[in-house]
Amino acid sequence: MTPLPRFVHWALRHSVPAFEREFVVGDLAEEFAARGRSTTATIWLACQTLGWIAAGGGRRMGDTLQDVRYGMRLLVKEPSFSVVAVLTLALGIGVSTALFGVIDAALIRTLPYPHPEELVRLYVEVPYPGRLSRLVPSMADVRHWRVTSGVFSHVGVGWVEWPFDPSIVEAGDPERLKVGLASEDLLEVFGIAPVLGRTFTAEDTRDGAPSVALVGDAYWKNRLGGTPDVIGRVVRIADQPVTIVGVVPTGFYDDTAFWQPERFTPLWETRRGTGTPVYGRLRPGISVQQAAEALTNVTRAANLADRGATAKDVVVTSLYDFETRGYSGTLWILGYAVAFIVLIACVNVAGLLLARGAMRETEMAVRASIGAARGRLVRQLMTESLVLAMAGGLLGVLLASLSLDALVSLVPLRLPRNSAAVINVRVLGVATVVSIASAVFFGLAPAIKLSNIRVGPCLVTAGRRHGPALARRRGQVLVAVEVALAVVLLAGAGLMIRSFDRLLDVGVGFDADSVLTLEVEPLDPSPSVREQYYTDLLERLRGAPEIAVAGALDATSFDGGTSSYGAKAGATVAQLAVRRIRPGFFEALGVSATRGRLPTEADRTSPEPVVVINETAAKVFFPRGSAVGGMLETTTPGDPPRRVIGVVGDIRFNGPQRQTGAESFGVAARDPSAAMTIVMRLRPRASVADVPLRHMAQSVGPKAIIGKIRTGDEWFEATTKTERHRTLLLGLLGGFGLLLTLVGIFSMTAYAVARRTQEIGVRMALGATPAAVVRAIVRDTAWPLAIGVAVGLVGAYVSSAMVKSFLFQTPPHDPGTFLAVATAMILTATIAAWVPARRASRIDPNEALRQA
Amino acid sequence: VGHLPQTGPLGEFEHVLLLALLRLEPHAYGASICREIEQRTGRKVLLSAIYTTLDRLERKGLIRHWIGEPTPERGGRRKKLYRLLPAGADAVAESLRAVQRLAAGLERRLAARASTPQ
Repeated sequence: MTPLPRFVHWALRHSVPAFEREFVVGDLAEEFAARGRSTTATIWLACQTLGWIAAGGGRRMGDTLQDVRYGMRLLVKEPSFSVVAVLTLALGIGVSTALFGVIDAALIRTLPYPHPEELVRLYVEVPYPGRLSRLVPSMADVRHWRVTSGVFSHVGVGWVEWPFDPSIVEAGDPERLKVGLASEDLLEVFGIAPVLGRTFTAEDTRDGAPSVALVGDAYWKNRLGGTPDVIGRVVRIADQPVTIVGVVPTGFYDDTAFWQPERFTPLWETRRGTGTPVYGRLRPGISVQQAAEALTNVTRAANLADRGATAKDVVVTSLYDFETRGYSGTLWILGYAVAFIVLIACVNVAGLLLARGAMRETEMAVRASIGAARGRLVRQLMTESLVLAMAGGLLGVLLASLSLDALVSLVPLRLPRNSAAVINVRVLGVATVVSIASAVFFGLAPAIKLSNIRVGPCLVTAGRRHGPALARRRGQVLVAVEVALAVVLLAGAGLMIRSFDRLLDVGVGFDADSVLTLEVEPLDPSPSVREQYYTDLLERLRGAPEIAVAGALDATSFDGGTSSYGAKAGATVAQLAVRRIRPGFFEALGVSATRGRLPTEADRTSPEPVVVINETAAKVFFPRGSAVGGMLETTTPGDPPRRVIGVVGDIRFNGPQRQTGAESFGVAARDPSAAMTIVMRLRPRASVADVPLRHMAQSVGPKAIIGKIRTGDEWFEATTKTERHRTLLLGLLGGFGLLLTLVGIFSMTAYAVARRTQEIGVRMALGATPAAVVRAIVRDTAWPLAIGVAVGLVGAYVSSAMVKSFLFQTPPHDPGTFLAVATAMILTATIAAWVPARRASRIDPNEALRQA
Repeated sequence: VGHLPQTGPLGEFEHVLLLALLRLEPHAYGASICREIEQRTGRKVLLSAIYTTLDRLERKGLIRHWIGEPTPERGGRRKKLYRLLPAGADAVAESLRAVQRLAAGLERRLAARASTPQ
């Protein structure tokens, strides 16, 4: 006997049908021996084996194609099943695809630059008495490192992320535009080369060098004509003539209109902790740790001191980690929510397949009895599942691409300005994987169950359209699972909604309704002209018939800006936010003094400066309640003490979620702010559109920049945007979960009813009332529902810790929310079961029995 | 799921197989057919192609198989032996006649054109 190599046996086992394998192996063994088992014989054998593999593969492919065709025919034949299953899957896959698209944009493509892994941010740790302070390095540090350390291919400093908003005077009205600041080599760090002209040199950053700027591609094309002669053109930025020397391409902070060189005086150049971020690109192959070590060494060796403090260590952070900090909480929650939706969708479809499987027992039995192997049946059923999943996946991707834009605005992630969420290859890949995985998940259990058929009993009952109650117990388990998943989702959504509700209840300390704000900034630098401008403007506004009252406040207060100083009252020293207002401000917000009085025009020129303070400040500085009439001194030398004339409630300028610190509102006419926000209250039934605010502000005197015009409601929406979106998104996902559960229970019950038509007919013929039939069917759902809700509540209890940090004045185990969720679930599920049950109770016994 | 016997002209490989089978009867099985075709025509044949084609010929009702005895050189495995049915003999005869009719009187012309002497 001449054994064949093992691989031949193995290959033939997978490619030659069992009934023919003996003859084929025999033929090959005989020929192999006849050819003398030489090298040529082995090659011959290998060729023959490959021939069988090719033939076997072709045969199997034929089977698969046949299965796919059969699966599609089934889909068309049972449209109600197909529509529910495909839509369910489409929803699950669509939601997960769309969210992945957003996450992809937010995380994976955060840094759309070549080799983003080389990008770092840098800090130095400087010992101060008793502690280490982490400061941004000085420009001197950066220049020193660039030459000595050898770890950077480029390194520079600049404001790319929080550019200042200077005013630019171009042809026509002046406008506020984003202007970034950069040192030499900064654009090179990001791999940006100018479209035209050059980038900055060290010379450009010298104090007193000629003023130059780079223009952004968008502004160049849209506003400056997009012609090459822009190089050398002079524009005015912040009232200074500036020469354009280059054009920055799109793809690098596109909303920044201009870039100017950061200027360094000799003092400023050596100063650490200026706040200007330092960005570097490491040479390929240099790790963050290696860079930190090398930089620490050269820094210590050079001993560049800043005000006597010597830098101890250099800290190097990957820019990617820096940009994506703080996302993980939100991402995990979204990830879980999406996974739950997909799971619920899968459970739904599995339930449907099981229910339909009960009707296909006969078909499977027939196939098995004429020789279909079990593996072959499983393969056919799995192919059908895949067909379903692919149909759902296609529709899902379509849904995702339609909903992506809406979703981007909802997802509470800060999308980097440089990347947009799109359906790309990666996102499509994820959609495909989710589709296939879900097909395996929802298809495998029903396929195994269904293929494990006992031929005898099924064929005996083949004439009747129902077999043993195959789907019932499993269907109930699936109902319980999906109810539990939906309850967890809903609880998360419920907690968010409850928390948001609390946020609205707390409010901001004033009545935002009917409030109108207008940001203005007269361009004249002289304080007296500005002072007069605001006085005139307020007078004109107060004269308008639509406006009840008008005042003013520092420009940036409503955008979260504060200036805090050390302040002292008696023995108490504490931080105090100092805001400047014009009388009428509190009245416009509808805020009245809780003690003392509100300021008047007369207070502006009173010899003793006066302030109004908020309740927090009153508590901090005057704990014994003697606030009104008390004196507040700032710790700034030469600043006169101010008399407190009134106390008002805390105003939450940063939105309801953030507590207010101690604040004071001064009305003195000296050193008026350059930019202010005019705050007005409209008369009842007056609308914003009626007031020609822009015209009034522009025509009152000197040229002025007119900024945002907002209603109080718009401002409130903007400050609560993140919370609102997070709540809406989780609410939406919870709603999807509930909807899918509703569909699942409805369709499973409907199938059960269809399967039991004859049984119900017999029962009714024997005297069961319709009400009893409804009760019996709904009862089938009751147990799994109860168990699902219980398990879901436990799951919610455990997992609500995840959302804890996002909750505002709401405990993560809020019993009211849990109760509401359980009630909503039970109601929904009962309705979902009741509708098909009612249909069952209308079965005509005669009709049902005739079918039997 | 039965396939009806199909009539119609034989394919080229079917023709070759039937001739080899006729030549080898009653010892026609995969390995012997393979060897016979290789030796007589010099062409390499895949066993999988032989099995597939024999299967097709059997479904056309031209040949029939029976299971032979195991032999030691096959490692104790049995052979799947084939014999020609009358319909198969008709088909191969008709196919041969067709070729002969077409080829009649062409011998000299072919010889004149062929690159190798006959």
